[in-house]
Amino acid sequence: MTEEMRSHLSSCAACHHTWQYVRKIESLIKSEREEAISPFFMTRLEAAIESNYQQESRFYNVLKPKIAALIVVAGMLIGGILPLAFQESYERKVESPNEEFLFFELTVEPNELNLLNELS
Amino acid sequence: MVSQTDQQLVTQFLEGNTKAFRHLTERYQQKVFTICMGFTHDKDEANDVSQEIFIEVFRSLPKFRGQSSFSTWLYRIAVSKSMKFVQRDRFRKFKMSLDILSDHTSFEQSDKGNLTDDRINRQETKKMLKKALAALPKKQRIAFILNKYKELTNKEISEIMILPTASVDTLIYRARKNMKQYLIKYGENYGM
Repeated sequence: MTEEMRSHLSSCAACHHTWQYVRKIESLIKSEREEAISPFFMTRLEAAIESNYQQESRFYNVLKPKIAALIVVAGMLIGGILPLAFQESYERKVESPNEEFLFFELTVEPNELNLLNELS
Repeated sequence: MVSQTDQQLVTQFLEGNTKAFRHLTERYQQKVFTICMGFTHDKDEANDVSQEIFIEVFRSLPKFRGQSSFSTWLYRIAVSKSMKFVQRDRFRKFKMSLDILSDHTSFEQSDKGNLTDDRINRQETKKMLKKALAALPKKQRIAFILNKYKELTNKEISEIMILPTASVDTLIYRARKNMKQYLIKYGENYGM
């Protein structure tokens, strides 16, 4: 710190307060930075990983048959519904030309057709 | 194992050697803990978050693609987990403060009654630091903590935060400026 700053801090209360806060915070950060991790960290971590792994495998073991059943049901549903849906749209496609033909048949009278043939 | 690189240890772990994970943890546990201290300011909480971080690392290592260095990837997880913890903790403490609101005065008095002046001072400073950091925008807070606690270079911080180095310079500069302004305001409101 320069002499000029020092003399200002001794005469200015506001700056003096702020300077003290900064020093306190710097010292707190330094002490927090120097804190050491627990010596039992590794033991605790390994135990936690082990228990997490066991929990997960227990979870999957319980759910596995349920998931399998769900997949089978979903498969059956998809296998049953999809072909029906496709069949329906296929039938609709096949039906549509006939509908047009029928429509044509209904709108043009047989007599008219005969007249047209005669004229040509 | 000590002389092996992080990447070699990661490869060994992925091949099924769990000892490699132990060595990686031993290499980085203190560094991760220091970052957690910067966010939590509490030794026990920092230990808990560090544990959460390494469990996450254990789970996610198979997904690590090596696009950044292992340490950068690890510090990213550390920052994200610590931030989540602080948010969760703030909510938990808010709920707790509502619970004890009726008994606030007696709680504070009995709490302070058992502490020495030094510890009270330290707690006050900790409170001030927490508030000052909480008042910072998220990116400024992260850059400031990584710079002050972990003493990482701005280039390292830029890799962790996926930002240009110049942006990190600006973030740290603004964080210091905002902290200073906060302390001036704090002094005006509370005095020393």
